[in-house]
Amino acid sequence: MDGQLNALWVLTQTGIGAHVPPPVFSVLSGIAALALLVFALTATRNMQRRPGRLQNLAEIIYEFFDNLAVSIVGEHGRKYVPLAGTVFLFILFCNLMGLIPPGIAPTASLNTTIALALIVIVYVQYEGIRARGVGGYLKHFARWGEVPIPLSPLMFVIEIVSELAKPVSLSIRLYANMFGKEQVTMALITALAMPIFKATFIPLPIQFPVMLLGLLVAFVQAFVFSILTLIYLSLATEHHDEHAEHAHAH
Amino acid sequence: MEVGTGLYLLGLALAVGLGLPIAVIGASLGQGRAIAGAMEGMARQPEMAGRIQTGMIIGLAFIESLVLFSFVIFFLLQGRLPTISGQ
Repeated sequence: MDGQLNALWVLTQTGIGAHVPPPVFSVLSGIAALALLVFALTATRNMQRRPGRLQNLAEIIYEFFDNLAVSIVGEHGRKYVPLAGTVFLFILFCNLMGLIPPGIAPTASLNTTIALALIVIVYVQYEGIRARGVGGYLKHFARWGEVPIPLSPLMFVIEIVSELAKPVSLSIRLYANMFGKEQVTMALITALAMPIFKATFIPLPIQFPVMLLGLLVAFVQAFVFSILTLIYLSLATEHHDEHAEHAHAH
Repeated sequence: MEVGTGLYLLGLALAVGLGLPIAVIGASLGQGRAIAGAMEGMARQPEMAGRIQTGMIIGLAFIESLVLFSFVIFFLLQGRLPTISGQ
C-alpha cells in the first residue's frame, strides 16, 4: 500500500522543489538542447519547395523572428535571428519540461538562467564593440555628444550600473517565474491534493489551474527573454547616422 | 523568549507575510494601467495591434520582474523562519 502511494506520489508531483541537485538541471537542459538539435536537423534535412509539416513549422518560427528582429533592430537585425530564435526555443523547451509530471523545468534553477543571460549579455557587448569600435563603445556609455560634457562621467557610471543590471534582471525574471510556478504547484499538491488522496482515495487535480497558468507563463517568458535580447542588441548597435539625424531634428 | 528575539521574529513574520502582497498590489495596479492603455490604443488603431501588444508584453515583463525580485527576497526570508516544534 505504502509503495503504491509513493509511486503515485512520484507520478503526481510536477515540481520536486528546491532540493534538486544541480546536475539534474544540467542533464535536463542537455536533453532540451538535444531535442532542439534533432528538430532542427530533421526539419531542414530534406528541404522542399513545397514544405512538409516539420519544415513548415520551422519556417513559421523563423519568419516570425525575422519579422520581429527587423521591426525591433532594423534591417541589420536579420543576423540576430538565429540567436533570438534559439534562445526562445531552448527556453520554451526547458519551461515545458516542467509541465510533464515527473520532470522539472531546468529554467527553475538559477544556474541555467544565469548561463543564458551571460551568453546574451556578452554577445551584446561584443556586437556593440564591433558596431562602434572600442572608442565609440565607451563614448556610447558616456552618452558623448548627447549630454553636456561635465555630466558625461556621471552618465558613464550610471550606464555601467544599468548594463550590469541587465543580466541580473534577465536571469532572475526567468528563474523566479519558473521556480514560483513549481513551488505553487508543489504547495497545492502537498497541502491539499495528497491529504485528500490519502483520506478518500480520490485523486483530485487541484494543481491543474496552476499548470495551465504555467503553460502560458512558459510561452510568455521565453518570448520576453528573446525579445529583450533583440532590444539590448538594438540598443548596443544603433547606427551613428541616426543619432546625427536626431541632433539635426532638434 | 527574550524581547529582542520576539521582536525579530515578529518583524520577520510580518515581512514574510506582507512583503510579497504589498509588492503584488503595487505591480498589479501598474500592470492594470499598462493593459488599459494598450487596449485603448488597440481599439483606436486596430492595425497597430501587433506592435502595441509586443510593447505591452515587454512593459508587463519589466513590471513583473520587480514583483519577482520581492518573491526571491520572500524566499530568502522564509528560509530564516524557525520551524515550530510543538512547544
